[in-house]
Amino acid sequence: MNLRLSVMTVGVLFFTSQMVMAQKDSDTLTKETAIENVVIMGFGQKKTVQEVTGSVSTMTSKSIEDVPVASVDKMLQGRVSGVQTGSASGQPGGFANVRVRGVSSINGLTSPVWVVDGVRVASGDLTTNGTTSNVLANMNPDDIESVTVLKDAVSTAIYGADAGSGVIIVTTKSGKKGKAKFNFSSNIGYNDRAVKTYRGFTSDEYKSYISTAVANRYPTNFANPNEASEGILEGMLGSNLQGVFESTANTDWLKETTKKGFQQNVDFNLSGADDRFTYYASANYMTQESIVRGSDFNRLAFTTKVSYKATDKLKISTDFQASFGRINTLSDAGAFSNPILAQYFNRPTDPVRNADGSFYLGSGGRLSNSMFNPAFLQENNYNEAKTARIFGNLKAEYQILDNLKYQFVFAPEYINVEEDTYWSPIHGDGFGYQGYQRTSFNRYFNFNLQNILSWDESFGRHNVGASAIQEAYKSDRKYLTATAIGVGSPTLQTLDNFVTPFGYNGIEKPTSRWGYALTAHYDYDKIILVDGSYRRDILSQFTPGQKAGDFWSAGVGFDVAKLGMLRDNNTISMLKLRSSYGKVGNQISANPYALYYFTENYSDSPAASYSGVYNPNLSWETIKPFNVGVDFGFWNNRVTLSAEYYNKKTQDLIYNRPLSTSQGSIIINPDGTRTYGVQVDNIGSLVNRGFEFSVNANIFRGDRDEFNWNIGGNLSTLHNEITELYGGDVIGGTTILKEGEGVRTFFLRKWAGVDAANGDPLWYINGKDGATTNNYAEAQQATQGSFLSTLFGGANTSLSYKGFALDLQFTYGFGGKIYDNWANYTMSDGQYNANYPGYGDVMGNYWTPENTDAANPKPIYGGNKRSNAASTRFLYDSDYIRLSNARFGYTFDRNQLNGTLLNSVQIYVMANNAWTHRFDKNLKFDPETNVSGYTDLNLPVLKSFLIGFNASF
Amino acid sequence: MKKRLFSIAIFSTTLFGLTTSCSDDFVETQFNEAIEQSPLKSADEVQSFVRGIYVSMRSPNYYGADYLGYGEVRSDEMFSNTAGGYFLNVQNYTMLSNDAYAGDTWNKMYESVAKANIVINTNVSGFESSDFAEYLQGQAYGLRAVAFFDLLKLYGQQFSGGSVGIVLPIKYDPEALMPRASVAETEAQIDADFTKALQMMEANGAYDNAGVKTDLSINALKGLMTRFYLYKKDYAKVRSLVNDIVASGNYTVAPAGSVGTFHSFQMNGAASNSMFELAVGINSALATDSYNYLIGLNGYANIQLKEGVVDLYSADDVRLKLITEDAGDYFVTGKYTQQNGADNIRMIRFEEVLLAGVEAELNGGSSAKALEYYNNIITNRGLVAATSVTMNDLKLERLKELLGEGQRQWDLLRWGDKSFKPSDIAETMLAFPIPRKETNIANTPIVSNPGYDN
Repeated sequence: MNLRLSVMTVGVLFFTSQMVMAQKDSDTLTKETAIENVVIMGFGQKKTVQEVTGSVSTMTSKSIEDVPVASVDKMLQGRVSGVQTGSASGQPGGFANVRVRGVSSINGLTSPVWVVDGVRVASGDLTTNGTTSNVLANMNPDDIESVTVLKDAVSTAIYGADAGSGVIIVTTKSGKKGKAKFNFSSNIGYNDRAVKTYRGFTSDEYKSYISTAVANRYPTNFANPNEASEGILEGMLGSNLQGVFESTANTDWLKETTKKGFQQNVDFNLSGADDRFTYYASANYMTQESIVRGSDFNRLAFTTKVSYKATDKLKISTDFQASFGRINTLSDAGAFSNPILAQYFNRPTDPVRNADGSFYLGSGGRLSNSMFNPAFLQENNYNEAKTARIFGNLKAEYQILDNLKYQFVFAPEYINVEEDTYWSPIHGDGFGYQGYQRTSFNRYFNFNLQNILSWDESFGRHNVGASAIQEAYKSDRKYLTATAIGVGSPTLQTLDNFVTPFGYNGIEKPTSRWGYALTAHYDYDKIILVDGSYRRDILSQFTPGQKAGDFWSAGVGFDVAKLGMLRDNNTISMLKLRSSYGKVGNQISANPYALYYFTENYSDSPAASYSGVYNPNLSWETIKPFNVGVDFGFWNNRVTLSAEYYNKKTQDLIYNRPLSTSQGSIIINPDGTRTYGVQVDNIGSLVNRGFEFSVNANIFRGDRDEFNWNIGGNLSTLHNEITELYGGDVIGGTTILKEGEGVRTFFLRKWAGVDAANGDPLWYINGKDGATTNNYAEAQQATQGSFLSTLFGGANTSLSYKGFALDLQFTYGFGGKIYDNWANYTMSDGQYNANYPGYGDVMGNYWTPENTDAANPKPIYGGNKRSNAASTRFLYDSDYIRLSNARFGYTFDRNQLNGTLLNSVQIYVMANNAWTHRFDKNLKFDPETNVSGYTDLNLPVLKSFLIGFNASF
Repeated sequence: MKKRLFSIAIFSTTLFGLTTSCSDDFVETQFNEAIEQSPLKSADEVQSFVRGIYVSMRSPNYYGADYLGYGEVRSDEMFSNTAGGYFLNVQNYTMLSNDAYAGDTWNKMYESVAKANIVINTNVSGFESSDFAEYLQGQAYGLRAVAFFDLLKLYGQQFSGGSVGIVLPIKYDPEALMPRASVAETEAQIDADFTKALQMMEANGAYDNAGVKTDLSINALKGLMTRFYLYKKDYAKVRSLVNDIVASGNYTVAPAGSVGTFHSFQMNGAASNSMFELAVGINSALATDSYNYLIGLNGYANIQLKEGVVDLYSADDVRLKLITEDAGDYFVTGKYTQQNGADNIRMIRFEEVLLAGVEAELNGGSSAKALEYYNNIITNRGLVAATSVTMNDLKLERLKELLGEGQRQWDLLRWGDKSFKPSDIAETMLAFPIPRKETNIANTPIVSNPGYDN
């Protein structure tokens, strides 16, 4: 039964015949390279910028200070080069897709590894019933000192088997030498919709549109829409539609389901250090509400980090993070309970409330068109996940010899996710069940154990270093859930009150891995640099004999600016060439085993199912990233410029080798869904390649009262292409996998507009150009571009003068696409409008004999020749420029604070996503949702306006 | 210095020791919810797989909802109003080869076949209770025949002007590529499977229990066979099967007073007219994917009676209780009644067997017997006994008795009546498209159905 659980938990759904690709992907690119003096690399190793031979980008705490976003992954956007992030949903505290240098896999993991203070931590969505969540949102972004993205072979290869999608290194704040410092910061504000979207119909528009569609369908009965309207009022098209036309209500469902969201963040920390003891402690509270009622996130986090130098040789440090996050999510996609769906699918002629102020609930639990009243559901139902995370990191460093150091690390992470779903028996999904409750506990206990021996020595100008690393990682998941229905009173909402058991689940899933690595470094006076590494990893998921893999990397650097004639040149302070190559792995979720399950319940006896086609040779994907770059620094690195080229080849790409579905092969996926007719195998290859440029300039630099101006920017390109795919093209409902195309390519019939002569829909017969047809089946599908932006980046500028400071952060992306995958309902040209009204924006823009160049076909009750079927009519360019963050603040002068306890005070106003320009005027969605390619009736991305202050004493 | 080197040596040894000792056990693959595939080892495992076939068959893509819907939305008795978007392209004959309905049902049907093949190809001779295992294998043959027959009805070309049937895998070999057999070969395979099923089950008849309606019994198998042999117009065979079932005395027609209860599939095995039903129950409830959500008023209310159908019932017909009017529209609400979709799925019931008997007796048998079967039903429906019965009476009675149960399209087609299809739709569209996933495989010998885009 547990295999069916995911099906059981969904409510009433719309049918979608468009087989959307299961993989989600991200695409929003931005970049900034803030070149710091010290870069934290894998396993806590520090390097100076001059020593780096690989490709790394760093984001400092300053650039993410006070940004009103729950998790740090969402802030990478526009601030780090070569990284695309974004999320399909505007859910506060929701998941963000992060892609480092493109999409390196089809079936495997495409998200980077997250490493906090040297140890691997859990990332992603660990909930089981929510539409989205993000365990990284449990980490307080105010605790973060810097985030470094490792992108190439030489910097990631020591993470071996799953380094292929990049590694993100988070370093948390530590105490700084000096007396205790207290910091208090707070901000407060509200959230709104970042971009304007479609509107619903008003009642009058709705009636007029339906009358037109009916008159067009039955021209012999009705000479014009007015006659059709009269006919409908007489009940000629059934009593249901008659009721619509008799209704005097005019509900704006968009308005009824939304409100301004509240936002607040309060952070307090204290820190300090003396010769032996270093400490940092913080407490944080954050709350964020979406503009759509019933969707919010809040977090309480506590961190303490201390280190103690016990002897000259021994240093012990512990990190401790405890946090509690609570997220409330709403249904997405075609669920009747999805308020975004209801905004367009509910009839404006159904009232939201009765005359006495109570909710209008229709009859039999449904509104006139069988939909639910979303405002009632938002107030009464909930889908809540509470995540408690406790993370400890014990580190002991022992200086064995002057140049030889041993480090022991033990870092356990305990995550407990408690989830509750409650559906009221009064209305909505819970009506048919007389109430519905689902409770689950999802516990992870992960630990990371490391032994590191490192050696550094200088022989004159020759610097040599090496380290040996051993690492083990284990994740142990235990999951328990129960669902029950039938409740006596809607005020009772815990599981005990629901009397009929309606399914349960209990699984235990351990995964483990261990490996060891060797790294070596040599440089000659930081002029010539050579790095190398080797890693062997052993993973539990493969068959014996395939569990181990070997990975390696090599990198070289050459700083021309340190050579003779340039050495004393004051203009050029750095001119470093660097290049790296190697082999890393990409972890996969696919399973090589063929299995029998006995988990189905048939008449209270076990029933069997089977999964998988045995493939003992299955192994992980290997990625060979090549990188070459040049770094310029001018005037003591006051202006820096980097240019890089990368070429990341994925080999042994895991893909579903298609099998004949009539032979019955099935893969039962971890979430209970089934994939038919496939065997997973290493059978393809793909490449991600492109250029990355970043620039940073301190144009004016001075003290508080002088004019300071800093600008930075970055630009990345991405070419993603499948170079080899066994078995030929794989065609989905709207996408294709094909050699020579990207992994996120749309495959659609091409819309050719409306026939001005008769209002028919037209498509290009060959899918590209030339002759058109009004017969959908006759038109060919063709590739129509990819989700992913091909050119993306960000730009920032900081101005300050006499305590006033203005910081702006822009992001942009070009070349991506977004598909409105529910438009077959919402722009149906009469097919569904009578039941489900759709977008009101068609008013004035549909074909009539008087308006022959309208964008939308002639509406016909019952549909106009499949005009609403999947085509490029609903595909939009996601090109955009966005002011992702703007901040204007004033910092009080120390003199102004004289006599108070305060050391420094800053007040500011901030706007997040305040301005967005979409180049495609037909795009009515957030352009950054192109990460997932589909709109899927998700919550809108937010814009926030805040006011806040920081004080330290 | 020496001491130091010594401690380093100790330390390194420890490190190395740690490394090797944790190796094998630490990274062993653990399956807590599954076992690796290997030949089945006991009659219990075989029985779990037979139950697995039932589970595949009760899927919403097959008997759980969609397959029943296909029989109704393309017929003269019911239609889809496309609420919630369900059945739109099925109803309008506008499916393409990547249509979700065509693909999902195909997958579920062949999943049933694969599980049957795992059972059928198990060597049970060494089992402790090998005769029970053989009885179970008989059930698997019977269920495979049902799946093949359903596949043939949906994807075969016998009604759409061609002669190509379906793919007939007889062992579970997931990497095999097989062409479609002809309609005649498919029918021969179904006939062979039914015959083999009956033979194996009867040979081990001690294990047969007609009282457990959620398992395929010998009588239930015979009932399902009447459908196939009616389609084959082998009326003599149908007559003999119906005789056997009636003679068993295990079943009675639902009495007039309890039509509401007996037709309500909620009785889950207890109704005296039920011969075979797929167990669902609250633990496996199909919830919002259930057939109840499609035909009932409380769910999507998608499949409703065609205009005038309700008028075919006379006013004292108790079956009118099973139909509910909603603002001028009529829905079958009395058969699938549990809104959480926990109703068992009725696979065959006694009334259908009697109706098959009427039809077979009218075609070369005894008209008296036909009348007896016919009156047995209608007198239990609040109507007076008839004095004669014709094929037209029978056709109307099948509509009235089996309304909403997913049989109508197949009845009409085997009678050669295609009038339910709009006249501007080509006859080739009567067969579902072969899923594009199947025809897209490189070098596949599987041919698509004409009229589609693959």
